[in-house]
Amino acid sequence: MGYDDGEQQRSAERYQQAPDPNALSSSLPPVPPALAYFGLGKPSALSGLRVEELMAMLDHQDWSMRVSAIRQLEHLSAQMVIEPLISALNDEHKAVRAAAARALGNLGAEVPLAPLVAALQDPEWLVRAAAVGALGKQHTHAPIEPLLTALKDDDESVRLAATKAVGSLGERTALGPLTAALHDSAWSVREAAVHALGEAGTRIPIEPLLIAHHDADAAVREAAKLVLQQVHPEFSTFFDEMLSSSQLAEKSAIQTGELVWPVDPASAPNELAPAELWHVDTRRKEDEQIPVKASSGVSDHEQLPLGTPSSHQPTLSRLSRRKGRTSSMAKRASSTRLALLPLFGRALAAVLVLGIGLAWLALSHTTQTTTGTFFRYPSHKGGISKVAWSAPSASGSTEQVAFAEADGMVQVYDIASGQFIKDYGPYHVLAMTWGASGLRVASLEGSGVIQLYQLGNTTSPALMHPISLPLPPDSLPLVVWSTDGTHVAFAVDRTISVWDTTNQHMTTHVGLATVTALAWSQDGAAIASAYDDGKNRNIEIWDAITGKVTTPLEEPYQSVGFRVVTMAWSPAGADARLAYTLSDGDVQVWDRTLGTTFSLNRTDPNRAPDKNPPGQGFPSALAWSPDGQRLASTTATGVIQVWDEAHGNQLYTYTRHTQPINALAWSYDGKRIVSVSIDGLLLVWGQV
Amino acid sequence: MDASVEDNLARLAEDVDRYYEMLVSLYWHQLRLFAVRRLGNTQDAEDVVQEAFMRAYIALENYPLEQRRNLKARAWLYKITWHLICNNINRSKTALLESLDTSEESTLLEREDERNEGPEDLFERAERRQEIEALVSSLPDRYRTVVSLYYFEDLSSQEVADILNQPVGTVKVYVHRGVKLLRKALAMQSTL
Repeated sequence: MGYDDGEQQRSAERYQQAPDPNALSSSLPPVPPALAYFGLGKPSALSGLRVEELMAMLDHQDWSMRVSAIRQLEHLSAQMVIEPLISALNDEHKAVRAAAARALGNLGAEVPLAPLVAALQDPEWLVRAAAVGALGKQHTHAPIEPLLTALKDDDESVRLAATKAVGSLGERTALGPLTAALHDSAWSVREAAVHALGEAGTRIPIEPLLIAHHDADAAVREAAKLVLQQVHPEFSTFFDEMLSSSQLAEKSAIQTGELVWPVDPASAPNELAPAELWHVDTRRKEDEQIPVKASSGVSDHEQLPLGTPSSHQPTLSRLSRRKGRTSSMAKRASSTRLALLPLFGRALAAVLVLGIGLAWLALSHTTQTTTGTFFRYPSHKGGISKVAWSAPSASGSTEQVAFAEADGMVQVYDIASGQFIKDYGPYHVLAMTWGASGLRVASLEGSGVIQLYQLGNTTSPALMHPISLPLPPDSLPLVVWSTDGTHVAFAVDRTISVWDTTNQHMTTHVGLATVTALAWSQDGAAIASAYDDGKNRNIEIWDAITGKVTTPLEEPYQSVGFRVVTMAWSPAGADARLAYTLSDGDVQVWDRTLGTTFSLNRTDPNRAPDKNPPGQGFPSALAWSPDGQRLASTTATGVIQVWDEAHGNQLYTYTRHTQPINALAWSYDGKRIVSVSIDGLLLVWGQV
Repeated sequence: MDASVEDNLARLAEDVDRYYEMLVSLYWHQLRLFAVRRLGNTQDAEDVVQEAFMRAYIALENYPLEQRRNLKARAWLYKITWHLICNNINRSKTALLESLDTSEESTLLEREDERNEGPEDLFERAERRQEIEALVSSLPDRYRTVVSLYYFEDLSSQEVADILNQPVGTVKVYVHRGVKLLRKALAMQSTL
């Protein structure tokens, strides 16, 4: 949890205020600092002062008087108070700085934002939270990037304020980061995220709210329930039934002494009480008893906690038998009935919990796996490395896929009929594309020689041109075709060569370090290349024709924390958005127009196994839909996630693969995806 | 807690400053006492409560109006304070308080209705309370916290569950077990 130590300013700030030479404050009663920090709790002694007098009070030696003066100034809305308030952002006392930030936020649109953005770097959380709130009040003028950064602040109150601020940006609200905030370690932030998402109304998918509805914290669950009922009223009946079932199960458990836990105890935030406090150990422990003398006369069973297993707690029937020497038959019968009651209660609770679980699974299935599989091809030749979907102009059909198997054969299948069409090869396929120019492959023919082939529908493949590259021994170049198939880029170590198949012209670009990933822009004019020199990892954008680094919108390089393992450029929005997967599994989208970067799956615990230390990554794939509205990414466990480009929300997942994904591609109509896992299983699937 | 207090608070929901002032006047002292009991250090307790209220103000500022209206403020403040107490304990790496604060100061902060009692009554009540508090302090952690919140802070099972982020059933079971242990200990004391 983000509570930081902060500046505690202990005794000097307790109830007594600093000696005040000014009679104005000395006559006032002391107030708790909790009030003084916000200029509250005192009679409004400063309310009659003129602006100049209030501004003079900003130099008062008592910080609480300075705060009070600021509270008065913020109501004046005079242009002349802006500068003094900006100066107060540098006051020595955090309460004054926070009050100044808050006041600037209340003054409206004429306030310069730079000082408030700078206040986000203040060491005190109170000031940062106030600055975030002030920026959030600028609404249409609010800068997005600082607010998104504040969502990652160490302090939970700052993140809470940032969540509210981001949620109040209207159409500009970044729903992805807000959805990610649902996984924040602090309940207050998760609760705020639910409300912020609620502000977006039906723009958000229901899935994140359903997750929040099962949050470990009651306040978050309650907030999610309210928002769901407002945004998706069709679910309210279902939730009522869920709630009543849960309560019934809980009641049964209480009767039996069973401890009922949240739906997902593993998701309990780390902010909670010391873990041992809530560790449920049904066995009896020595420390659970108040020390008593052995001769106290208290029987064993009276000291036992409820609900412990029979091996550690004698059941009532066993106790009855123990005392049975003097018990009547009626008592024994009663004991037997009592013994059965807990069993019945537990069984009832188990049935209800199981029912709830099944209902949840059914709901999850409904919301998450609205996908169907249309074609399945398990390769028995050691795997499939590349895959491509036919372009309409190339084959007359969008229902054909080509894939390269480990034996070098390129197979073409018709998806609609499931029929084999043709195979080519063998090749050592480095890259494959099936654009308007037809099916093309780049094949490694020998040491340092790469051959390009035009396959298409012709009876015999056309040899396009051999290209010689200086390849180090046992190295494989990284090869990527341009979208239209007219250019191909080869990366060897830090050198990237671009071959133009239309005029056999070669362009070379020397990168910053070893290239780990390449991506062509949709128009073929630019290339994004990712580097890793072992210490620094960057992404660079450069001109595919000239080989020169393009004049960037903001800055030429994007620094990333881990190695980029795959990259894809959005076909929409003038090549503004570049998505990439890092070796820690993080899928990020860099919006070069806005200058922002956000993670789609930062809080997904299953995204990758090797975060620390940064590894070489894992087989993964990334592809934008043809319209640029959706992005498909993969996890280390082979789950394919499809994201909403506009808001960063996860639309649906596909879980039929059990191994990491080698490659995937969207059909040209955006309705199907072909994906290949490292075990050689090829699946064509899509929404149904 | 009297529901009318929360109703009055809800009426102030549109004015964050007034709402907050009311919160401080209503709950500052009882939260301070609660923190003193848990931390055993007046200075640390005041720091925690001060920070709790500051964070509460930030939260109130950012809450939608409807959320402020429906806020169960007392339990909410206890929840914030409780989390800060836990963090304070974790930071200082000290165990939870083993012996409660039974100093003169804590008896000065008794409830209002106790101030009208005679000196003997007051002394007897305080002595009795101290005895019970001492017994509660000897409970295992898991029971001590729940019993303390439930009885000494006068919170409902649901409120305790919300504060500790636990199912209400768990809270009830722990209260039941804790009281059972207390009764046993009291019975032992009377037989000695």
